[in-house]
Amino acid sequence: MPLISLPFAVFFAAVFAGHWLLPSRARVFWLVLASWVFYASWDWRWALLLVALTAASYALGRGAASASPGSRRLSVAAAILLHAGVLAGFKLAARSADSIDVLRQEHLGTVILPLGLSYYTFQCLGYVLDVGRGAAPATGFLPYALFAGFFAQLTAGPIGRAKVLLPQLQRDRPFDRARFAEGCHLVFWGLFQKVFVAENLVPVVVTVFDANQADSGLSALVGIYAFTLQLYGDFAGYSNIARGMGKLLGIDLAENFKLPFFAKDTQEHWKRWHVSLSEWFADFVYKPIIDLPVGYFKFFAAPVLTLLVMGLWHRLSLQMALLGLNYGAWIALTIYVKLKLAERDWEPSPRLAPVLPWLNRLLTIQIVCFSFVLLRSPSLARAKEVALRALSFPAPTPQALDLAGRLVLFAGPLALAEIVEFRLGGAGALGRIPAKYRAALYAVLAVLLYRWGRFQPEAFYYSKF
Amino acid sequence: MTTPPPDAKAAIRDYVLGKLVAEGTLRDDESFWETRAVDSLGIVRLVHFLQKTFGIEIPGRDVTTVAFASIDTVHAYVAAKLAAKGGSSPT
Repeated sequence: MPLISLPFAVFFAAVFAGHWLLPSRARVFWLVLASWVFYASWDWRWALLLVALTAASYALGRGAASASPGSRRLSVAAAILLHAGVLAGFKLAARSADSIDVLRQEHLGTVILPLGLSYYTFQCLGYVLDVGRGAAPATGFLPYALFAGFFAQLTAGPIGRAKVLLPQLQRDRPFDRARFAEGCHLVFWGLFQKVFVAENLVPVVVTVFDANQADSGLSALVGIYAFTLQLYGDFAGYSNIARGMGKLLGIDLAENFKLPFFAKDTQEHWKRWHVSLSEWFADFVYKPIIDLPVGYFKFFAAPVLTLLVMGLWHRLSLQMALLGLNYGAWIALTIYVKLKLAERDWEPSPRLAPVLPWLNRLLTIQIVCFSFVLLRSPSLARAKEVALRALSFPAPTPQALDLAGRLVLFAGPLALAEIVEFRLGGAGALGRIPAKYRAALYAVLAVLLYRWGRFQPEAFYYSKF
Repeated sequence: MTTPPPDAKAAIRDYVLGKLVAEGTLRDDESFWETRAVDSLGIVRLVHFLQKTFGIEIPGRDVTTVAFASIDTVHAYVAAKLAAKGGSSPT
């Protein structure tokens, strides 16, 4: 049951109506039931895996909350082994399955990578680790089952954390009109990001990366920018739809993208892009490296090693290892340069000061876009080919101008909206502008969707991880 | 045991809030890491500040998310270092 489909719209309408019509004590049960039915609609065996991991991590969470330090350590160790084992087992089994499309349920031998497996294993493992570090455990199995498997976030996050999400699920959540309005805005905006922006950029990306038909440096460059914006539209779109559905059901899910293209360096970009996953890795991989009793080089090794693990999480391959190492190295270099500048109390000249942040943003965007070539390319050789071609002479061939035109048409409205949100104070600001301006915005978006929306979209990019 | 100078915590607080926390504020007992108010770059800058201000040497192995968790824990760490050193006053 894909998120952008008529069956899902009917499903969500029924869940929404049932949720608010039922007495509050029955709502958690209703949402757990809905979540498991949603997951079983893809494959009932996946639902069994979800239920089993939910039950196991709930039990281990109780152990991690125990007064006995030995029991706490044992529960945490067991949780790491269990979740990392399940995740690594599936990833290894599908290691050579570059072409496998889990959403079309094509088999690789007997292995199917369960949809969104990473996200709920991270969520469940994060819960046990957080409880082991002192967070309050769930008060009962049902709220925990909803925490672990809430359908809105099940397939691609945002990853919820025990301290923030669980308390919401364990208390009454009365209907709130402002939250409802915000939820509607997020769903609509997320739909636009996916169906208008991301889906319409797919052909541009395919021309450059899959068909390898870029006939000039400009074509390849446009393809590289188009992929980053396609990925952003896809993933931020999914995250906004997920958060919007959460709000419609009275639940605030974590923000996953904080205007990442306004980051002034790669370190800041890491904090603004796929935030819930970045924070998860920061807490459970980065921080333990900082805690090692070694010298200051750990502050440069930590981002490199953390991003290496994140790269390999995408897929166990040399290409993904290079993706992580490359980005981690950029972050380490950023930290080094900022440190040296701070040591010297360096300040830009009055003439440079107003433009420097924008130059830094422009440079960061180039680093990010070129790094993502490794994520999108079907092979390392193709990644090298596309990147080198993009650095060659940008001849304005008819193809390049056509691709650039499509990039401007389909990513332009997104860029414009982000600039407005940046000026208004941050991500989500458009959802808080006065109602008459919002109505005008929705009218424009509706026209664009009606004219160019592709309502039979490809699966969300990150759900396959 | 020698206690740190009475204004040591104020100096640490001023530096953290003035130089490292980008927006908002931070209580003395709030975690740098949990609030994500101070990042790892900020921690290294804080170490440089402490070494310069209090004349202490801070090896990398001491700089952990536990010892450098909050203004309170950093103050406690500086107090211990100064005590071990023999009660030097800040420069």
